[in-house]
Amino acid sequence: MLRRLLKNRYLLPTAILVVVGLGGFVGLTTAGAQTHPSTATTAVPTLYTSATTTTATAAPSASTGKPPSTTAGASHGGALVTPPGTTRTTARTHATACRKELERISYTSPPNSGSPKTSSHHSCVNGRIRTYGNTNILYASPPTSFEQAGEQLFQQVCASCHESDAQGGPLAPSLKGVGSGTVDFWVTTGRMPAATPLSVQAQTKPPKLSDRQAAEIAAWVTSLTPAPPFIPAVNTKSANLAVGASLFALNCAACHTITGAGDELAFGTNAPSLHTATATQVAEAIRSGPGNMPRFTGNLTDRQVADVVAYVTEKIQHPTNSGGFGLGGIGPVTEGFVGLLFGVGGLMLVCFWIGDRS
Amino acid sequence: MSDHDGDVAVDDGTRTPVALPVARFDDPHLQPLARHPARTERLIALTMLAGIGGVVWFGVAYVQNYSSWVLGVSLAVGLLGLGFGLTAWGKYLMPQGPFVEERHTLSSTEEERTAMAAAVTERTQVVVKRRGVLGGLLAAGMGLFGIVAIFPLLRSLGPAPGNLLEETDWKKGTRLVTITGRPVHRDAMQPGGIVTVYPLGLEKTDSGQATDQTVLIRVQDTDLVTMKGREDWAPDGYVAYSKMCTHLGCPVGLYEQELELLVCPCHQSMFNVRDGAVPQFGPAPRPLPQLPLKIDAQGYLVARDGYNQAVGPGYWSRTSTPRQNGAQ
Amino acid sequence: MSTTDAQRPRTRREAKRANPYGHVQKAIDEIDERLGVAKGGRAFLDKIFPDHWSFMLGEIALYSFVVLLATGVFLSLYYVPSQSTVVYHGMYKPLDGVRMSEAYLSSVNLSFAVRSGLLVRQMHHWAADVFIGSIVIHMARIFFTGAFRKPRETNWIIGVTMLIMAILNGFIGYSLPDDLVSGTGLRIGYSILLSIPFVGNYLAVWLWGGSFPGHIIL
Repeated sequence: MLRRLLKNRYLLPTAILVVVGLGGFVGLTTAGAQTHPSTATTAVPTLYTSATTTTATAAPSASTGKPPSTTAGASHGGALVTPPGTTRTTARTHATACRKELERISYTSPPNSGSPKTSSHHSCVNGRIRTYGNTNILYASPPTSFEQAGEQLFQQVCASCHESDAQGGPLAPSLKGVGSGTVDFWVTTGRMPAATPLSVQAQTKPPKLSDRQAAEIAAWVTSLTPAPPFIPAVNTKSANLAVGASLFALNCAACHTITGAGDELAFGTNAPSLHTATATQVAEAIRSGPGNMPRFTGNLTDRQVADVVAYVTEKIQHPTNSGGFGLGGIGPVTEGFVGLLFGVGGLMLVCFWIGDRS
Repeated sequence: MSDHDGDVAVDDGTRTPVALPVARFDDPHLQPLARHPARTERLIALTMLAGIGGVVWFGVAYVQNYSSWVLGVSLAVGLLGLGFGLTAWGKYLMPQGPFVEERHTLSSTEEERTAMAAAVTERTQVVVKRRGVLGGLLAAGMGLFGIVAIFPLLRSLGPAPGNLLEETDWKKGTRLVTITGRPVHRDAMQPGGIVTVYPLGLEKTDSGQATDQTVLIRVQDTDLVTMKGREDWAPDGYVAYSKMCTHLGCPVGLYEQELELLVCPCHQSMFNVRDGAVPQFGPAPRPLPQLPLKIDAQGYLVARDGYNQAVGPGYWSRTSTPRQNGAQ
Repeated sequence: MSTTDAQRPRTRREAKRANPYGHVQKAIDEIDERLGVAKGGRAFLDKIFPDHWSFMLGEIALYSFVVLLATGVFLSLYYVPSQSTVVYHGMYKPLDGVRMSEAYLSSVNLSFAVRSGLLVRQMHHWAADVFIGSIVIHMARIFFTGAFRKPRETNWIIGVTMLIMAILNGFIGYSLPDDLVSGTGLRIGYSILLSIPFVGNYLAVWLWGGSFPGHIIL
């Protein structure tokens, strides 16, 4: 039987077709795809908003559009909550501290573009800004109770490169003033702890630390020098996909490609595939500009960022592909490969069958 | 009833090729390739039936508006079935030959070619030798007519380019706006940011998006001077370059903030943002033109002047030296 | 086949026996008396085609071209070659409210609103890939078997011309739907025209009716 098979003149060309085809096909369509399982969800804020229930922060749902009720000293629609039993003098000190803190950590920016001062509402506890944002995106910083565990983790995992007070050294930059959202992004995507500290771009890999641990580290780092962006919770329910698509095409598609498949860039850097990113990670990347990615701040409102996030998590990550298998969304290269190898090659096999050998 | 009848092949077992016989069914060349023709015929019939089924299925799927992949699969089954059946019929059941065809030589005989040469020579001599003046006049006239006849065609193609490719809509004091029409305030961007900007009012127009498109980048260095003579072109670290690549015109939207490189996605030309978008790599021949910026009284970014050179890819008559600022 | 008067058949059966092709003969006679095709037609029917599989590569190109023509005609019935801006409000929700050219809108309609439109679009796409690929393979076969030599030089020239036109057609074809690939390709085409010495900017401006993108190129 085997001998008959080997004698068959179609065996060799078909085998070449199948091996080269499948191999190249698999290679091309999974190129750039990240395979690490991402466990972070948009429920991250709920991990710790329960610890700050007294802040009465509005969850980013469309139903509660107005800022929570305020007590003394609120400004700009912010919620300043003082624990029960405080005196009026303490409340006023809190209010001043909050105002000062708000000024200090904000950058001037058009309204609702990611800066705490110009957001629709914010909340402050014990002189520290805890949340800011609006119904589209609510930025929240991890609870202060995380800080102790965060410090421990930092010293174990991060201090070897970033130094024990996060000031940075020859191997890694300073983390002062980067914002909890930035730290959360780098750790939950697995880029940190970095495999090779001085490489041109930190490689994505399966995250070593859990989301909780990432939040803890973020809590501690941000406690040194609080700064935006905090960790965003994006409301994609009322997002406009068409606006998201246009903004994506204008701002993101150049590097990440129009299907979000990712691309190689200059000098060993690359724009990763967007297929495994969570909504939080996308918003964090947009607002913090990690690595070589530009930082989109004042020119994109939170509404527009939510639109882009919705577009990425819905259309990019779950493409319609009405025509069948999308071939990885890479474009002419894969299609040419499939068309030439399977199309022309297959038809050549048919010619082989029709014709004679000699 | 002649030489084309072909020889009746005697079955000598060697099956040398023969000319196509007229019709003799005991000829071994006319026997089918299949060893069991009846069985093969049944198989082929089955394949064709499957094909018919596929085609009917396609018809039903179309009328009933099934999804696209059902249409595709049914059509594939149908056509493949019929196709394979037909091919197998031809290969296994038709006379297998081999047949040969006598081919006559393509070229004509010696005499015919000589006669042709003679005809060509003699008939042109009528013009050239006997009526040379008339022939020459005719040739000149026809040639001239051919040239002149092209004039209406050329003119109808449209006006000459003139200054069309040299000018953009950026003038002194034009406000920079994003795609949504919002002017860019000096506080709008943090260092490391990039946004595409257009002249005020033109952000939705074709010419605005094609020719006037400009990238605005805020670099870390607030005292950036890209080159001599451009000291006041980059206030607050904001620097603006034409988005049209000088190689073949693709929009250069790809900014790497740490490397401070603008990369063109088409052919990977890389422009260094710090020193006036000089190409560091790739096929671009010239730096991206820089738009001089200024911050107006309300804090919004405006163009200090237009571009001082033509934007986009080059062409033969493009002026190679930058124009003086203010001269359009 | 000539018969004398004495031998002319009397009955229909005799006629049939004399000329077994009688039922076709009449038709052939009529056509041949008007067009003179009997002799050439027979030579044509007797034509032999080589049996080797490599001679069929050109046929792959031929039949994929036929598919391109058929699907292309279908597509051309629904395609709108216009660059004017419209707003999409059709079946495909993610593009609802997006401003696009009429050409792109007609392509989206072909995919989603026209029955079997997506299938025809896909057939057209893959046939185009196979077409160009098979032309190249066929060209390689011609080259490496020396089939371009005398007396077939003209054939080779014709074939190479067809390759160039096929590539040009492919470029024009994928520029029609006016999506990202199309627009980028057209921009590059405009710039390539610009780069032609002396007449480059004239050619580009005339073909596009002005600066890029103009509104006439599609």
